[in-house]
Amino acid sequence: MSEQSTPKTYRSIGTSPVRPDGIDKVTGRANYGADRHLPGMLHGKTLRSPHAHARIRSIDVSEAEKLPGVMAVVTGADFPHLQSAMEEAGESQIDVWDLARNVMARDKVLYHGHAVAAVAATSDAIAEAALAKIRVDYEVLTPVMDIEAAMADNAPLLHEEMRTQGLPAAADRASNVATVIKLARGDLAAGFAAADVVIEREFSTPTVHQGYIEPHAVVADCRENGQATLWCCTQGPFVVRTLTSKVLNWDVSRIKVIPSEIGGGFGAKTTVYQEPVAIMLSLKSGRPVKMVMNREEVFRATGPTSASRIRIKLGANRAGKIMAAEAELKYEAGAFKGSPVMPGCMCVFVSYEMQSFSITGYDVVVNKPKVAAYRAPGAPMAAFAMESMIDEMAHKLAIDPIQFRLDNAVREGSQAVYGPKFPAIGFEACLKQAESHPHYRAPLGANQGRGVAAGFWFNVGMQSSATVNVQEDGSAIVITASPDIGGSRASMALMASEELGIPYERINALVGDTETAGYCDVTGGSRTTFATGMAVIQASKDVIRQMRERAAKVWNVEIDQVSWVDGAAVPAAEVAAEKDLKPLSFAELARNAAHTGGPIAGRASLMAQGAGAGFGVHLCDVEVDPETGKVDIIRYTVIQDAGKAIHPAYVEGQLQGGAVQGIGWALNEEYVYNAQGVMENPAFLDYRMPVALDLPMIDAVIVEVPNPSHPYGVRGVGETPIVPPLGAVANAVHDATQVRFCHLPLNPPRVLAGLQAAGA
Amino acid sequence: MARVLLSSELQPLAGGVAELNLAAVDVRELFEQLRRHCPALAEHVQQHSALAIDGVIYQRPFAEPLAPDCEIYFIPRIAAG
Repeated sequence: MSEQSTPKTYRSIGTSPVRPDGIDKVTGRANYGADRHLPGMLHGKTLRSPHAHARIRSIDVSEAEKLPGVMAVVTGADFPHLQSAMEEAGESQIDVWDLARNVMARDKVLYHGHAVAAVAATSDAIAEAALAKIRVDYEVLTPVMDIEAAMADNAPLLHEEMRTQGLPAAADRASNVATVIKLARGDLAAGFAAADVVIEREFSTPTVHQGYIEPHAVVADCRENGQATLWCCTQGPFVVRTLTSKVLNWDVSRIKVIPSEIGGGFGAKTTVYQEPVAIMLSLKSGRPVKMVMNREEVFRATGPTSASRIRIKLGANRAGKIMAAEAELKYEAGAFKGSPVMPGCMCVFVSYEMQSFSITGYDVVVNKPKVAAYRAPGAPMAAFAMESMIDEMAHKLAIDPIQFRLDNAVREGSQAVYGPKFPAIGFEACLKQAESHPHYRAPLGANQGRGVAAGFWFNVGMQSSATVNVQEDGSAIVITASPDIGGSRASMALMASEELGIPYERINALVGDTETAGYCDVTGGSRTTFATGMAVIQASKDVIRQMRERAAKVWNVEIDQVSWVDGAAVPAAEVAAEKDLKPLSFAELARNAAHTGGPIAGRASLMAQGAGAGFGVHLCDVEVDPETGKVDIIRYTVIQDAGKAIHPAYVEGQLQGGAVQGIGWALNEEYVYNAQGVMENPAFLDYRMPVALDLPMIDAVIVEVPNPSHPYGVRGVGETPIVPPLGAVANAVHDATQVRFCHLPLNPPRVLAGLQAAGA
Repeated sequence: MARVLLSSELQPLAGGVAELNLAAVDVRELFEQLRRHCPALAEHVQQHSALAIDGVIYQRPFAEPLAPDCEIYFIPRIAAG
């Protein structure tokens, strides 16, 4: 339901029509990454490291190459030698040395499952047999499997040349700490001295995976002219093109990327794994090559998100004002530098007014897969720690947890911990919605408890393009290169419909490739409805301008005597009366385009600026079984500021989906490693994600505080909803048990042990 | 004058100062002045930072106009998820 409305009324946006791709997806007709087949296509398979940390002494592929049906074998030696360099890669910078070595190991393997070699053969079975014939001589090294081990004195080093960045003076020796971050403001000692209550706790969260349904899949086809075409499931065809070209040291113009439908990504499909390998195998064999990961490979060899250790010290006065806060965040990056600890540092205190604070972050490499983005990267762990502290402080001060948050909440004009003052934001509105929601006052039963937690994400804009082609039957085609993960075809069509004034059903929204659509950054960062939508709005306005021009020509008047009203060109009153002119509809102008100057197509490309920050508040009720420690979610409500919901049902879906992923993170999910650094639960049977039967219906409340930088007020909505659940669940478990749990997941053994330790 | 307010992390790149006041009518001029007065800071922020002008975040600013007495912060560029 929508609790507030923007003053403007709309015809199309704010409605929830059926998604155009829905029937194909539920009937199995939609083509995903693994569905592509080409004549003569080979099957590619990857040999992966059996060790978490080892030096490669040699690789012998000769026996594999002799196997009948094997058409190509590649190792790291087949790829160009690249120097360490930070390169622009679509939406962020990436070290191409790291990327290339993550795609295919060279001198060292840095996690169990690291790619070592790959084979293309005429069948899956032959490719598997060939992998077994590749001989790799390893010098096995001690794996470094967690933050403490990685930061210990004399810890084994993953990268002998890596020096810690961000220290006051240049580091004089190698370390597993890639970067140290410091953010601070005010007089911390004076702030804590002025506090009446000071609490300090340490928290930890495990390595978790995004858990998308569709494994990574790619088909590569290299031609004699040196051009390569990739079909793959990705959140951004242009970023695949960029990153693949970096790894191969090719010009981007040699690679065309055609995105398939995508069965989930959540940030993790914004990088490359198999794509450069498939091209190299295709190049060597002269035939198309398909590579499809199985679930085990997805867990072992693609980027999960960081495990973390966070310490927070929080001080407040008896009146309920936060006086000072200190945080230390240590995030695992996996095998190569680049954890999301920076956004973690920026988010840990972001929801609250802070005069005095100090935040220190550590980016730490360990022998696990290199982390990849996951919804609001870095923020959920930070919010788990801080929202647990806020809950505890409110209880110590005997203040209602929502009131305590309201007393300290950032508002328009508040200075964020990362610097600037907030423009219009909806945090206070979300808290008030939570406070007045029937859920918050509903009675609880025995062994039940209620938790509250807040969350924030920046949201981003970045680059997008859109084309709107008018067809002679009065319909329009919208083309962008933003893959549709969360219903963006529908939201693009709704915005075009709103601007053009024609029905939603008359618009066909398509996802193009890197050669037929203009540049778009990834579908991620909660940017697509905001930024690509802005491009669609501008391209639609371009169509309207051309249609007004055509009408002006037909009527032999000036264009400024023609306006666009409800899907039609309308002459100004004086010329309409003088010449007896009637409005010309979109359909009439489209039908006659060939006679008035030719086809009509609108286009826009932009760098979208001013993405509006997203805030949310979650209410969670749990029931804890005191005999087993099992936690059941019995009621859950998500309240979030969407700015303006273009397609409210899909916004609700985003809020519900983010909450479910966060609940899984809180209750069950974790990578379980043995002493050798081998993940022991690389399948959904043992890596326990919530399914529909585990959860109640999640109520979603959309708050609309418009983003002033968007024509309709849109804010991104996809990431914020995964931020609060970890804290909301933990606070609810505390309410039910009076035991404060600081380490996730809250699975039955941990909860039972906590209850027994507390004598509960 | 645009007020450029520097985080504790960026202050060492600007000789330890927390605030710079620069006469610039747009972002292009702002960066020209930064390159002249604080080259290390200019290089760092152009590579790594987004810009907040009176609270509105510009992920990759170029020539955006600056109002007199506007408040500017450099913040790390946020990637997507």
